[in-house]
Amino acid sequence: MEEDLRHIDLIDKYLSNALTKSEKEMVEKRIAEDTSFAKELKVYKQIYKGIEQQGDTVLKERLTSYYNSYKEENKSKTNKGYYRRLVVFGSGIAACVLIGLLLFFYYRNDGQNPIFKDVNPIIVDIDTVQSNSKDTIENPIDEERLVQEEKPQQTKTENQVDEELVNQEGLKDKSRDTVQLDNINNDTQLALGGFTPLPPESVRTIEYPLPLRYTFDGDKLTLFGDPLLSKLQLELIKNKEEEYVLFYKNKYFSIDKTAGIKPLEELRTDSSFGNSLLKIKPKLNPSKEKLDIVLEDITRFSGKSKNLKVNYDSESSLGTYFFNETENTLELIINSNLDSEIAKVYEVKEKNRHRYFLVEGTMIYELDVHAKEPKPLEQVEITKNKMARLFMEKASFETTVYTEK
Amino acid sequence: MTDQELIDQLKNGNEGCLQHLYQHLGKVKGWISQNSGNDDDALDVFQEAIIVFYKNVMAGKYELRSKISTYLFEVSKRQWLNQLNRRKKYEKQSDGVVVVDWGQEDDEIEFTYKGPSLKKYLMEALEKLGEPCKSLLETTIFLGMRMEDIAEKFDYSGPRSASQQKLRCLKKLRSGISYEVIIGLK
Repeated sequence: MEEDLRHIDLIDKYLSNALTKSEKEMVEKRIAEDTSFAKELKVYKQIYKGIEQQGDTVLKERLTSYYNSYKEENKSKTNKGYYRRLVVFGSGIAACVLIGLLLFFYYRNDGQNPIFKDVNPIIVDIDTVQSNSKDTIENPIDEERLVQEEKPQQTKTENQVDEELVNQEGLKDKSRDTVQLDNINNDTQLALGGFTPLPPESVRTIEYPLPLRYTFDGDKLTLFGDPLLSKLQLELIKNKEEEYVLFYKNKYFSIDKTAGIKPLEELRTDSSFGNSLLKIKPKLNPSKEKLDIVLEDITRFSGKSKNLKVNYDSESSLGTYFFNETENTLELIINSNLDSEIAKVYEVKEKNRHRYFLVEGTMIYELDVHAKEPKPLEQVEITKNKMARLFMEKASFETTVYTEK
Repeated sequence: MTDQELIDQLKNGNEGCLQHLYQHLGKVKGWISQNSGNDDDALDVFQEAIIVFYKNVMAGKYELRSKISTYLFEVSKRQWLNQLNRRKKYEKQSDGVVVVDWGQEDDEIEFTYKGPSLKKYLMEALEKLGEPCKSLLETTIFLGMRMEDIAEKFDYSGPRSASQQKLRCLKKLRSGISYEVIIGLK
């Protein structure tokens, strides 16, 4: 029997009950008359049955592991919860006492002048992760000066703009007396209230993908801009002039040896190699030469997020999160203790949508920006969530260099 | 997590959140213990119910009419009653082989048959076929996912190109299988 796709399509629809009544009758008539068709159908029936059976078995295995982790989690919740809360609560009280004492000594003289000669008291180091003095409790004069100093500058780097924004917000916040969750400067108060802001440096924005750039030292080609490229998408060619050319998405790009980072430039049509390549794809042979291709981590090119703020509740073990959207800020509340040294929240800006990820070491969670009610933090499955692979270790592989015949 | 959130998560490919369903296992255990079963039976039956639920969600057939917990309980009950019936039949039959009807709904359970395995044969054939065909065939045939969803999941341009791809994969799979071998497998 001729194995064409249309006939498989018919069988497929028959087996998945997707035929109309008349089509079904037609197929059944054919089964009765055409023995080779009937035979073929039997084979596919077996194939479908086998796939169902093996799918069932594999899913059951996974379910068993989900069940085990469910049991494990529930055990640890009941056992550890109490002690964990005790420790967290205890350290909260200890922090209160410590900060209270410091404030007492600080304002003891006449309420204004510190008895320490040091203008930058220790509080700053304790309650903010930022090294510059932005603490509102400490001294507002310093802050105003900082802002004024930055304003007259003509050219500002992105970082400076960020800092300025932070400072201006700090000034605004001072006029409000209530404890606000998005108030990133009142760390002390927030820590006592249960919520701690994630340092703004740890809330990052990435655009994905970025235009591809590269650096090449003769042995190793490093590509920047899209760590999710697959090995199959890239082909490295060496032309007769011993120059390297990268074939990617049906286009040829010239690769020069360079110490810096260069944008990937399409091969010019007037180059001798380009001509021959662009008109007819030359016959290529794998050579013995092999080169390493490294897909560089894109998080290196992330910037501080302008509108996203993250607060977490270090005393909570709920493991949930939600977003709170106001006019021009987006606030993320995480009801879980984060390791502020390593935890980062990324906003990945794709062409059509923005996605949010919480990355804590090797744990990656995707966050649903539409979650207005607390939603559990779910670790992503790397095999299913392609974008989450951005936050894994950078990929590198060896590739064969092809030469023109 | 609300029921709707769970369903959304599953559709987004987060299979792991099926884990949350086990909080409803207790009720099923209670009912089964009153109906001549033990905890293991309850777990088996409950897992079957989860599979029915999961497949229906993925195939876009699940409608959130009642709570998921109620649904799982009802399906588990039905599964267990089916099993009890089959056990009775099994005791009567001398050969003890229960043949699962092909084409019946998901609530059929394949159990008790041991022999040269069709399942294992297909497992190997799919392994040989490689990705993306393996996942594509599993999600369409086993989970019954719709072509629209498949296209999105596997990055195809649309449902048409997804079904073309499925047919190509089937053809490739078929080409490595001989009629005589597969027809004898159960």
